[in-house]
Parts: sequence; structure tokens; C-alpha cells
Amino acid sequence: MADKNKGSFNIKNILANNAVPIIFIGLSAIAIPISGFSANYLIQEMLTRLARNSFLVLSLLIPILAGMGLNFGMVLGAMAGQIGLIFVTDWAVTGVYGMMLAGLIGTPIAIILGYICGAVLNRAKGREMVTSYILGFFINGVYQLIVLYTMGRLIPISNPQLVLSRGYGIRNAINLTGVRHVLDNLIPVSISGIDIPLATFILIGLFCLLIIWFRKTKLGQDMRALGQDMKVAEEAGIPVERTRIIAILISTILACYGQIIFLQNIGTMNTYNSHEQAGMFAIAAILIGGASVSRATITNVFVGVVLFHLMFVVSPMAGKELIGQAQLGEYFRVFVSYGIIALALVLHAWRRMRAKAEARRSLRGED
Amino acid sequence: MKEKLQAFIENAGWPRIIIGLFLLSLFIAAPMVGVRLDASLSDTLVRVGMNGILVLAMVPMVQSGCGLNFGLPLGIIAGLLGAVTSIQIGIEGSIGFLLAMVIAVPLAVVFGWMYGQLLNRVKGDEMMIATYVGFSSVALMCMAWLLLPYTSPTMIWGYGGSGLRTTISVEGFWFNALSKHLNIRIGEFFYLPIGMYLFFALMIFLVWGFFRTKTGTAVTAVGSNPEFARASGINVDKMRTISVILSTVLGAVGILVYEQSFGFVQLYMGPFYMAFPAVAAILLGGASVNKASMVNVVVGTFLFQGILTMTPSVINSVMQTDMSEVIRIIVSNGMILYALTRKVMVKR
Amino acid sequence: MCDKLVVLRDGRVIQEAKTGETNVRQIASWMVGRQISGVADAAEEKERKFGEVILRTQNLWVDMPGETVRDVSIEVRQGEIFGLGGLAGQGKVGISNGIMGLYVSGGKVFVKGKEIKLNDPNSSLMEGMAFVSEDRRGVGLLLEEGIDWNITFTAMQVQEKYILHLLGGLLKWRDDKAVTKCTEEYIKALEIRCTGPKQRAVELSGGNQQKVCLAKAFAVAPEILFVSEPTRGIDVGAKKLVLDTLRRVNEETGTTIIMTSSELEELRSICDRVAIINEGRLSGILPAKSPAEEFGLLMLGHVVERSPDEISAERCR
Repeated sequence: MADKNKGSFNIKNILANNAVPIIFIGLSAIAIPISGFSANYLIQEMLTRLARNSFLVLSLLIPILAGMGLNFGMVLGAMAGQIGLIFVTDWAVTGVYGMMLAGLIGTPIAIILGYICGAVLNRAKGREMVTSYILGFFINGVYQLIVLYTMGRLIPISNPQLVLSRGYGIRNAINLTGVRHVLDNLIPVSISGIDIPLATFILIGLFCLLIIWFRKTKLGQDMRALGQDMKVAEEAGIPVERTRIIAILISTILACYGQIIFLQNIGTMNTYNSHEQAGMFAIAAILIGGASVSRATITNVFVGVVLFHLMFVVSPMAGKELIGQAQLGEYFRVFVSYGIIALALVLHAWRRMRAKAEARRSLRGED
Repeated sequence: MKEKLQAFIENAGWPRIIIGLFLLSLFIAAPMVGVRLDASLSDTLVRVGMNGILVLAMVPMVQSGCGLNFGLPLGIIAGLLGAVTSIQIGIEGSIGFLLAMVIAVPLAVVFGWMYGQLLNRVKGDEMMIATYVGFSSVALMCMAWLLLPYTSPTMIWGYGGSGLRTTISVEGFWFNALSKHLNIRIGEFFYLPIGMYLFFALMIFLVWGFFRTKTGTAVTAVGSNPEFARASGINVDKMRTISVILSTVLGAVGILVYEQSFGFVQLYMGPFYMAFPAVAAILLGGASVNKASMVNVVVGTFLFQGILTMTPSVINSVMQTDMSEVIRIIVSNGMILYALTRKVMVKR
Repeated sequence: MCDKLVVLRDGRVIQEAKTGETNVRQIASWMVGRQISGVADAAEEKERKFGEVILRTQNLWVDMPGETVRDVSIEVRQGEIFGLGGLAGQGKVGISNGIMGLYVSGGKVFVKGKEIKLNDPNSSLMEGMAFVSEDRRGVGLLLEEGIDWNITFTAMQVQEKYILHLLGGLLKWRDDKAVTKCTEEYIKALEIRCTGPKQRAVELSGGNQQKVCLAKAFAVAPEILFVSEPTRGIDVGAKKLVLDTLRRVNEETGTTIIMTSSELEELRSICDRVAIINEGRLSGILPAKSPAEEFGLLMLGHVVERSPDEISAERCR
């Protein structure tokens, strides 16, 4: 009798825990045939986007592990990476060296920003997500202050192509000719007409191994303990404040590199917009992959990137075919991106309330 | 005297005082850089009247413990629907304005009720979810604006297109429906729309009055200690829903007042970020995440709109650059950050 | 089972003994301490008259984490001061919390013969019951609000006291003047040390906070008053005042008081009867003046008495 109950409980549990990706697979199954894209095209798109976005999404794993929720502050790392790229383009350093130099310049900036983010979040325990969200906007303001007003004046920029016509401030869109596709084309592989950016995937694979190793280290275990119960971790002697800052620091640095990888694939940088979307899309992707605010695995990352970008590519066309207006498809895509985050947050909060009630019921005992 | 000053500083908090002094310095510097003081003051005051009710909309949900209403776009959407429908029906003047409100308010009640049900099931994470519910609804409405069967020629795309335009002028309908009543003009540049202020004052009076009733007292208690309220027989969920409905309705009314002064109805992505200035304003006025008063609303709106008005005009004249946008981003988000990091309340 | 046992009370070691050389009665008497004299005798002089059964529970169970109540059936007479005692975590605290609707409960509860609705705090309050919770800061007070709000809130919401009915009853306006007046009266009556009616509750000492909680309950003028751990965490002077106030209210207004406490002496000094709850069930009800070890026995639950010979015989096997 008890076993039978457990069995049915399991299926229901699986459905409930993975509601979001299941909904998404369903939506995709409907939308793909409507949109009329070929399988080849979709596979190529997905491979490219996987290579492009996975690193950014992976950077979200550590803060979730440490119980700090979705790190909306990853845009800080993205901004650091962009500053690195601006300088690299200005100094006309090309190729892989250019990319590495951008990373080198971005790293100290990312460390400073990550430290600020971690310190601020420590003062807002219990409200990390909203705070990191607003912090992202705030630092965006500071970023604009620097990039739009000081670069070209206080910070020398020699390449006139980068600067606005008024004499200072970086242009809205920069051509990253020096580092374009540098990583992707490092090891060119092509299977039946589909290009596979092997070097990028190798890098991503290495990073995944790094994460798996990290989880087993003492620091990783400390963060896991923090994520499960801050109070208990504190009593066990784990330096709570410091560990949290380290978690955010790592996340920010990784976001910096992730953004550089992202931009080298796209080839152009929207100076004032690229980073904003980076955070939002990464978070939407990991949530669609089945992660929750308190639990995320590497599988969630990859499944999420594929599903999210599938929806991203397919919905404008599907909208156009269904209702006759491409614009509608565009808006549908925006709606889905935000709606999915809202849905995932609601499900998480609702599940948390239910878990508390369950725990109390089990405390009541065998009655 | 010194103790009084110290108490004032402690109460007000340093960031607020710094911003207040900054604003004062802008007002003082204005005439020195060729910006007319009376025009600036008038602009600031007009914007206070325009935005005030949207800031007021923050108060009910803060008092009931639902946090800052980042989901204000829901109420704004109700207001937009009212505005657009009123223009469709085509009645002009103050009656048209009234009609817009009559349509918007019931819609806001419905939206607010649904929103309240959602928030009651996610206690503890309200603010984050509010933000994304707000965003999703704006995106959803983007699709709706394209599809809804409105036909008034002033609203839809020209040349036989379908779907509503992004910006719709209310000129010829109810532009300045409130502002035109009882306004004071001193010289060419100073203009005070007393009509709009009276309406703002009326709304403030209504909200203030609500919190002095039996239900309002219960709502405040729920925000202060929900367990206490429950033990006193209060239906906590019901009080929270009431506060959410009130907040949403104020959002709908607020956007209508804003539009009648601004002159345009902004659809599509217009309402997307509209919650943030209101949140920043009320925090600037001294509210915390679970306590807000009428004074916070007025002071905060004045400080915030003051910065918004004065920074572009003064700093642009001084430095020949337009830094207003960036300063606005830094100030408003900085204020919100300060409020979020002030009291470490782990309410789990 | 053990070879040696140590009895601790109030943080001190009372007695050490070899298990074989004592019996349950002796252990029980060590646990509950010496008898209270004087106070109990003084109360004996006045004849206590009680009315009908005002509160009756039937198989009451309460799901309160840490203080689970499994099956309690008791009867309390009008005008009584009824005590609920027992060891910590055995369920005594859960009873009043359950009857007042703060935790999930079931079974039946009858007030003045009428069955009342459970799991609804408002319903319990409307039936003329009030509760001073053991969780002063969590449930009992609005820490950030003034003393005036704390004292008058429940009465305002449940009985519409301190409300002005305006516009022909449509608008229920808070009468701040009445609130302040009532608060000042209670501040005087209970000697609450504060800077004024508007002082925030969080700034008061534990004893004064407890007085505010009592005032909140008194403001409702209940027929049945539940008081849970009324003197926990407050100084000796405040303790005396609280207990005296409860006794006075009971004598003057005939309010039935049901008091839950972990201090048996306190219960025995003020109550008429004391019930002992063990493992969520009623162990027994005794008149307050019964010898202390009888209470101790009830607290230990169902214990099989074995003679020292039986125990040593078992060990040899």
C-alpha cells in the first residue's frame, strides 16, 4: 500500500518539479511546425546559440548553489567584459590574443564590481534577487557615466571610429572586427554543412568539469551548506558573509568571460544594450531548463538554453503564420521571456510554502 | 537645538539629506547659468501633480506588507484601457475624462483582485514576482493593442492599418481636463494647475482617510505583524488583497491624471518601467519597505521630480552635455538600493 | 533502565541517587520541590463559588509544532481559575493555542454548551474568549507600533470599540481620542512603565510588554481568558503584579481564567484546579492544594512502579 502511493507520488512529483521545461517542450512542439523552419536551420541555430550563451548561463549556477537566488547582478560582469572589449578594439589587438586581453582587462573590473555586489547583497539578506536586480540598473548608470562621458576625454581612446561625433563617448554600436568569431573558428569543424564551433564547446566543457570539481571542494561544500540553511551553516563555523561574497565574485568574473564569448560570436557590440539582455536571457534560460531559485544543475543550463532559444527563434515566424503579423510574434517572444521568469518564481515560492506546510505535518508524527 | 538637528538627520537619513541639498544647490545655481527659476519651479510643481498619484499607489501595498509595488503596470494598463476606450467613444472635455475613470476603475479592481490572489500565494517573494508579472502583462498587452478592435481614426495606424498606435494624443479630447480648472499664471513662465492639485489632494485625503478606518487599521497591522493580526481575528489574505486592489486602482487613476497633463497616451512598452520612478520617489520621501505615509509621498515626489527637472536644465547649461538620463538612473536606483539594504529583515 | 539518576530543577542539581534505592514517588517529589505555604492557606479562607460548566473540550487535538495535543477532554466551570501544567513540549501550551484558532485543531469545543467553530481566531474571539500568548514578541505584540495600538487593536476589530460610526454607519472611523484615553487608563491600572501611550512596544521591558498584552485581553472584557506562560521572562515585581491582577480580575468580574504555565508552584498558588498534560493527553486533574508529588507523578506519565528487588533481579539475568 505504501509503495503504491510512493509510485504515483513520484510521477506527480516529477511533473510538478519539471513543470516549466515540460510546458516549453509542449509549446515548441506546436510552434516549430507552424513556423516552417527546416530542421537543418534549427540545428545550426541551436548549436551556435549553445556555444554563444552557455557560458553566461553557467555563471548563474554558483550563486544558486550558495542560496543567493538568481544573480541578476551578472550584468555587472557583462559590463566589465564589454569595457575590456572596448579597449582591445581601440588598441587593435586581434585574434585570440585580443580576446584573452579583453578578459585580462575585464577581470579586475569584474572583481571590484563583484565585490560591491556581494557586499550589497549581504546587507539585503532575504531580498537578494530584487536587490541584485536594482543594483544592475544602478551600475548600468555608472557604466553609462563612464563609457558615455569619460571615455574619449578623461580616458584616452585613440580610434576615432569608436567615438561619437561630438568628440567623446563611445558609439552605440561597435564592430568587433578584431575578435570576431575568433574562438569559434579556432578549430573549424563542419559536419554535413553545419558549422560547429568546437573550441568554444571545448572551453564550455572544461568549465563544466571545473564546476563539478568545485562542488567537491571545501569551498563548494561550504556554499552548498549555506544554500540549504544559512543559520546552520553559520553555527557550523562557515564564514557566511565571506563565502557569499566569493560566490558572487566568481559569478561576476564568469559573466565577464561569458559576455566576451557571447560578443565575439555576434561580432558587434551594442555598447549600451548588450549587457542588459544578457542577464535577462540567461536567467530565463536557466529557469526554462527546470532550475529553480534554490536548485540548479548543469543539465538545466543546456536544456534551458536550447529550449529558450528555440522559442526565441521560432515564435516570430509562428506568430506571423498564425495571426499574420510578425510584430505579434516579436511581442509574443518578449511576453514568453518575462512570463516564464514570473511563472518559475511563482512556482518556486508556492512550492516553498507547500514544503513548509508538509514539514509541519510530518512533525506531527504518526497520527 | 543640536539634538533636534541630530534627530532630524537620523530620521531623514543621509542619502535623503544629500539629495535634498543637491536639489537646493541646483535651484540656487539655476539663475546663475541662465535657467529661469520660475519656469523651473513651475515645471517641477506641475510634474509633482502629474506623478503624485502614481507614487501614492505605492502606499497601500507597502503598509500591508506586500512590499513595493513593482507590478504597478497592471494598474496602469487598466488606466490605459479606460483612456483608449473613452477616446473611442469620443466624448470630450471633463466628461470624457470622467468616463475614462469610470471604465478604468472597475477594470483595475478586477486586475487588482487577481494580482492579490497571486501575491497571497507567494508570501515573502512578492517584490520579485510583482516585477515580472508587471513586465509580462505589459508584453501581453502589446499583443492586445495590436489586436483589439478599436477603430477611432485618431488612434489607429494611418493608411488603413490595424491596431493602435504607440502614442495617442488626447488633445481635442480631455487634454488638461483637470489642469485647466483654476490655474494660476504669473508672468509668462509660471503656471500652477490648481485643479490637478485639488484632485491630487483629494486622493491623498481618501487614502489617509482609509487608513484611519477600522479596515485601514487592520491593513496596517497586517503589514506590521501578520501573526498578531491573525490572532486578533483578522483575515490576513483578505486585507492584503484589499491593499493590492487599492494600489492598482490608484495606479489606474494616476496614469489618467498623468496623461491629461502630459497630453499623450503611451501604449505598448510605455508602461514597462513606470513602476521604478514611483518606487524611487516614495523611498526618497522616507518610506521603508513596510511603512509609508502621506508625507513620504509628497516629499518624495517633490524631491524626485525636482531632480528630474533641474538636472537636465542646469547641468546641460553648465557642461553643454545631456547627463540627465544617467543622473536619473543613478539617483533613482541608488535610492531603491539604499532602502533595500537598510534593515536586514530576514522574514522567512 | 539507568543505574544512577540526577534530578535537576531551575538549573540546579537537587538530588543524586541510585535508581535501585528510590521509588517513583520520591523522584516526583524531588522534581516538583517543596510545598508552597501561606498563599495557599490564605486562599482557603474565602469560599470560592463557581457556576456552570462554561468551557468543555471533547477529544481536542492540536497540531502545534513542539506542543502537540492528541486527545484532551476537560471541563472548566465559570469563575474558576483553571491551570494547565506539565513538562515542556508535552502539549499544555497547544491547548489554548488550538482553542483560539491559532493552530490547526480538531475535536469539539463547547462554550456555554454551544459547539464553537475551530480554526477561526475571529470566531473564538466573538465567543467571548481572549488569549495572552506565550509568544509575546511574535504573536502578542505589534513591536513597531505604539502601546495604544497594541492595547486597543483586538477590541477595535472584534467588538468595534473605539470606533466612530460616521455617515450612518457606513464609515468606521478610528477614534484616536478614545484609544488614547483607554490606553492611559490601562497604563495607570497596570503600572506600565513607559514614556507615554505612543511609545513603541519594542522599547518596553519584558514585564511591561506582558502588561500590555494583558491589557489587550482585558480591553475585550472576555468571559474566558486564556493566559499562557504569563510570568515567563519578567522580573519578580512584575510577576507578582501580573498574578495579582489576574486574581483581581477573576474576583471582580467573574472572568474564568485558564492559565498555562511550566511553573507548577505558580499554578498551585493561584489556581483552583490544575490539569497535567503529558504526551498530548490529560494525565489527571487535581485540586491545587494537592501534594506536590502527586502532580509530579502525573507529569511523569504512566509509570510502572517496581520495587528495588525486581530491578536488581533483572540485572543479574
